[in-house]
Amino acid sequence: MKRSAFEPLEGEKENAVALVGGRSLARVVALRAAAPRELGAMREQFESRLASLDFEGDPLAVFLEYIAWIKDAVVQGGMSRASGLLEVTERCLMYCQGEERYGNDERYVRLWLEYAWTFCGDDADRRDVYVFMFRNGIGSQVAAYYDQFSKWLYAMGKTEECLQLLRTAQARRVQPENLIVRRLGQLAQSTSSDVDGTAMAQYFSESNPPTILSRRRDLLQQEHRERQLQSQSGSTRTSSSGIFRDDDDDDDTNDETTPHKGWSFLRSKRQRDKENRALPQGVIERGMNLGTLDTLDNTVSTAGKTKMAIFHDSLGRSDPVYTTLPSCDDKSEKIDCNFALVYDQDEEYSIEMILAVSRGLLAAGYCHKRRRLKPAARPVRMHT
Amino acid sequence: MAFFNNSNQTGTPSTLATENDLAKDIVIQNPADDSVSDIAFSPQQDFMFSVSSWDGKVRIWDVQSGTAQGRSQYEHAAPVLSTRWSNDGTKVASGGCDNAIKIFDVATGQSQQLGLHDAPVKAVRFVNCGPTNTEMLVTGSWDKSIKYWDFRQPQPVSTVIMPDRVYAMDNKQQLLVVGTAERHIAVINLNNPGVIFKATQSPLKWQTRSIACYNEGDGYAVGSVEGRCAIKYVDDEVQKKSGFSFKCHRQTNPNRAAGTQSQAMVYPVNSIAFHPIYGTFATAGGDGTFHFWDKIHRHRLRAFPSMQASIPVVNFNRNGSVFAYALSYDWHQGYMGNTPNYPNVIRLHPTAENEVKEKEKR
Repeated sequence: MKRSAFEPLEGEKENAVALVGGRSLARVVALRAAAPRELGAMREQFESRLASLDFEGDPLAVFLEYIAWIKDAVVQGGMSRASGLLEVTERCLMYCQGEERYGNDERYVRLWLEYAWTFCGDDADRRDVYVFMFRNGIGSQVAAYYDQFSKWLYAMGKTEECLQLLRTAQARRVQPENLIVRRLGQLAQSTSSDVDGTAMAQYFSESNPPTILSRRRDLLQQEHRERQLQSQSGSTRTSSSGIFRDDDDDDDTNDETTPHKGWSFLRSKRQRDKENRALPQGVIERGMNLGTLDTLDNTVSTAGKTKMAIFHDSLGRSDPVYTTLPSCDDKSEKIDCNFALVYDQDEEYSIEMILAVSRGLLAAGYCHKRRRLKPAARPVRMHT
Repeated sequence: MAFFNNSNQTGTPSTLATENDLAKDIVIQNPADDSVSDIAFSPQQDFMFSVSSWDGKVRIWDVQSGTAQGRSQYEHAAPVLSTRWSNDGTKVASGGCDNAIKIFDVATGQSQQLGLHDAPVKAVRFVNCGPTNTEMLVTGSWDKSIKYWDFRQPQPVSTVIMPDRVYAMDNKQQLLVVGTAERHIAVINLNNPGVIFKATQSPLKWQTRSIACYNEGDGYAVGSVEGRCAIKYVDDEVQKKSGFSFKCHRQTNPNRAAGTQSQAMVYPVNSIAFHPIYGTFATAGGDGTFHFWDKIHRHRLRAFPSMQASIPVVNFNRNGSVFAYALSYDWHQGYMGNTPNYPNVIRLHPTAENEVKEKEKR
């Protein structure tokens, strides 16, 4: 191959995702030389093939062909959102999930593992994928699954779980058996070689976060993750979009780290990431203290909020007017009689007089009293 | 269990009556177009009574058949405040805010104006005056006077100046008691009707609301706006021995806030009426309850549940077999207490003997 053949890739070769099987440079160059319209037409061709899929044939093969084509056409692979690799991979995984014949198909299981490795941004997400596979029996007879899952468990410091997983694989007689045996041997060696035995576990346990340059290590990790995320989202997520993940100091980790509808359905990554969520520190595990959960009471803060307006029931109503009198015994008396009307200006009016005055029935001698007493002129309201 | 058994059939009847005890009452819905001001029974018939009302009318009802029938009615030019029957049961007198005293002839259905006061007439009573026991009408008015009328002439036979406006008045036998504003009480011996026999003050601290004389004519009961009732005797010696006052028509609020003192809701004693045979008496108040009392033994014979509307007036018929009480707004809270759906009802309660008869000492 001539040196000049690499020239179209010079600008992007750092971004090209390395594939285990490698790439055909000729194909990559050919695809890059093709006009966008041609690429679109090829995409549509794949889509139409997918649309007419039936389960008599091998839909997985079509998907894998499509995925391989994408990887060649967009060398950034899953790193580029425009490639559509994530969507196609998820479509494939979900489409074939119910198929028994694919459950232990090496191609299918490897696609799952690649998905977990490439697209799962954090350990919790990755764990969900592995657990999802485990519970649905995907790759239960494929050594590669146990290999990758056990490596991840070991990396997370879960040596006990790692050992259990490999023993399960051994019990299931997963082929190639020697791979599992080798991994078990390596695990036994590494655990015994750990001087203090729990170095790894401590490293991830977060029970007593060590500090680096007087900054908490988990905060540094968080920053690192965020940088990763930003780089993953690439050009599509600009700074102006203004959508951020929640701060890590909000240590509420009990959000939706588990897929809905139980474990029979794994939501797509976009849906999983749709809502802002706090990145859990490490992985939630049994016996972990998550701190206090936010309850409604805790969220109600009196500071900076307007007070609820409380009004007296009697506002705007014309309640009876009472007079409270002290009594000789310790009880006070509340007299259900409007004393403001009964004892007005040193005059004692009977109840009938008040009514007569209010109706304008009293003769001229009472006129000045009437004006004062008449409710229409000046309603007398006395609260004592 | 005994606490819950209030029925009259038990061996030891409770003094608390229930609504069942009022179930046999004859109810006259809307007996007038406005609040009822007074009820008076005929001295000659058991079931005939007149009702005066703030709608300016006096109506005469007959419940002989068990259902109330309006017999006749006549009008004043203004609200009527008081009504009474003559001793022979042929005439009904009334006085009202038109300052007029009217006489209605039951037989002919004709009414005529007897005379005038200078202010509304608050109370009318037929009395037998002087050594000859001449029947006269006495009227008390807010013009601070009482006047005696002999039905034949438009001028009063006599006018007696009272210390203040007349708010309540009653008589039995030769006793006439007038309660006025500022808690004055004027006692008049009808053997000498032209002079005040005794001028005194109400023993109660607040305004005199109602007065009723004992059947024996030797004393009177005074009710005030402040839920209190005084038993008074004319003779000072008897008064010292037997006079007293007591609280009534008050409710203790059961929903008082913790830590606060209990506070009694106190209602005016709007009306007092003595049983014509047994000498026990009834009080009625703004709380919508009426109670029967025994002044001799100083205890309550029977308490009835609140009717949820104030009782402006009560009265017994001539033999005490019927107790009439009105439910209508008595204006004690002023205009603010009045509502369009306030009840306006007259109820006739057939009295049971254990309600109104004083108990033998055990």
